[in-house]
Amino acid sequence: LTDLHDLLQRAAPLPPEFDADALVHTLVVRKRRRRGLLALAALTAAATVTIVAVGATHRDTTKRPGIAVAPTSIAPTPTDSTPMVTTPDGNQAVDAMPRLPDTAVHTLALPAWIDRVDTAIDGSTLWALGCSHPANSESGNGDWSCVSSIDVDTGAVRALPSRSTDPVITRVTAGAGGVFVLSNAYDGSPYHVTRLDPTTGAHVWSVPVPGTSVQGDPKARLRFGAGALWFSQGGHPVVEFSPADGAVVASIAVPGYVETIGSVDFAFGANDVWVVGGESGTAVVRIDPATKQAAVVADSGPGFSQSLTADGGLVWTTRHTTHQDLVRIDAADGNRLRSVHLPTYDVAAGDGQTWFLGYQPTDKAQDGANRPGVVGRIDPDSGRVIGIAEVPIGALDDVGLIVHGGKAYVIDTTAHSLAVVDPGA
Amino acid sequence: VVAESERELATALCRKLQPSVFGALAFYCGSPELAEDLTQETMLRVWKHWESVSAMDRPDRWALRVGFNLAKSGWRRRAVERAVAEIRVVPPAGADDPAEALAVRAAVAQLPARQRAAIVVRYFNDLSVADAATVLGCTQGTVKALTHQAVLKLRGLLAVEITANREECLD
Repeated sequence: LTDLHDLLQRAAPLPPEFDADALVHTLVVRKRRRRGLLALAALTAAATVTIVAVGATHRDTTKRPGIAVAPTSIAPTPTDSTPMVTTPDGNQAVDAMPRLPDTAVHTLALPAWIDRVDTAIDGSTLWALGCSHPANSESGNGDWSCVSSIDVDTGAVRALPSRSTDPVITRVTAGAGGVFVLSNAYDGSPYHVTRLDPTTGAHVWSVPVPGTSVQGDPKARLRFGAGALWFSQGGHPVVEFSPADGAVVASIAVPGYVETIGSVDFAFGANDVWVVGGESGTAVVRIDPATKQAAVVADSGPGFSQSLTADGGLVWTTRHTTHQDLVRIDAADGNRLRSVHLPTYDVAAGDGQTWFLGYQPTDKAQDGANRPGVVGRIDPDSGRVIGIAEVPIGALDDVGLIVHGGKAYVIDTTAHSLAVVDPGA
Repeated sequence: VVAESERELATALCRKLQPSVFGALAFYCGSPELAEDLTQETMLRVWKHWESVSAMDRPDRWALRVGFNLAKSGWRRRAVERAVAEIRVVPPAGADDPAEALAVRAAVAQLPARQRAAIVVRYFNDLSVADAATVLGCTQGTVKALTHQAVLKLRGLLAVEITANREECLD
């Protein structure tokens, strides 16, 4: 016979030592935090979070598209510091912003082999890097020489049964009925641009990018827009390819463009191609696709840009220094309309909607998947932050934001998820 | 929160309460780590509400009730559900966890949550039916019924003849 009381006493795990000092410390920390939150709430009540136009004294009315301008350091203006909540690192406290009303966020699970971020959306098909391939199955990782499609409506994932000519694909883009990939071998050989059939994966054509030699960490970008394929690795000419046959249409020298360490990005307006990128490179360059002329139309000084988007006559880019800014540029006259500090990592626009991807600055030290992140929507006309929605995101290098069909999509290759943010839900 | 003069008293009470609260929550949660977190949170409540806790006749009942309420609230509830689901498969015994202890914890984890709570406060914390009812926020009859069902189930799960000479009828 076993007494139940004795049995449970014997089976109980050893309790930890009681530590009064630790308890008091926790209480003190919580008390301070609560005071901070109360102060935050008071500030939030009074705050109107707006992106404001740079005042007349900051506007250089001599700037016009096609005229190169010198880098200009733009200091925060008094209007920038109108009531807003800032974190100790100077960023605007995203988590103090209002939540987006009537916005649904649902998350689709992605396979682990979609392991790097570069995406392109075409219809309801989102193209992403990585695929499951038997040749690489023993490593347990995705194959880096192929791409996959994700149906954003159903979450269905299909690996394209095709491999690139090089071992690694670093970029994917889509348009004109094709999927285009940028690949390299890390051995000093050039980049290759390859057109794939989106259904069969068959190679339609593959061409080397003239004047390139890839070693180290390639940052070049390939994007489809304005009816053509555009390539840039910063510090070198922008190359325009024909999507039909891969022929080089133009090699466009970019003034004032520096060798890049950071990312390069393209955006496409009604009559312009925009490019930005690189460490110490916040210059926003406008290319006229008709004349192939390029000019710096805005340069927000030291820092680097990682993201660029255009919609409805406005160009948006991120600027990273000790702070992060979202910079708004009027595509018509090149005037800069600058944001307040906003912890943005990515910006995307389309169909009249502008969204940014950021993170909760108060939890910035938290690593790994499911780090608190936010997508925020901006009124492109007033520049006001309409509101934010929370999305789980992992390491910031592994997330990407896409805006399409009135929805925002956040792909996370650390958490292996695709969050669909529907503001009309 | 606690005046310096009262600090020793609060420390003494927490030191006394901690093993029983932790043990109860460890059985209930199926996870010593989660139980440690909950116990810490419970002790924080003791300090926070020291003025009223110090005036209580039975602060142990209050602390247990706080601990169970915490375990049943918000995200912790989901964490408890996950931990309990994991421990139902008996893990291999380690140096600090003899096989019998692991088997008992796994068996307790297989009980429904309310039976688990009832059996723990009655037979681990040694509370009377009346005190257990206070802690669990139910009637004494419910405590008896839950305990009765739990003991019967544990007998089957552990394949041992358990004696539980309490107020409940175990026939």
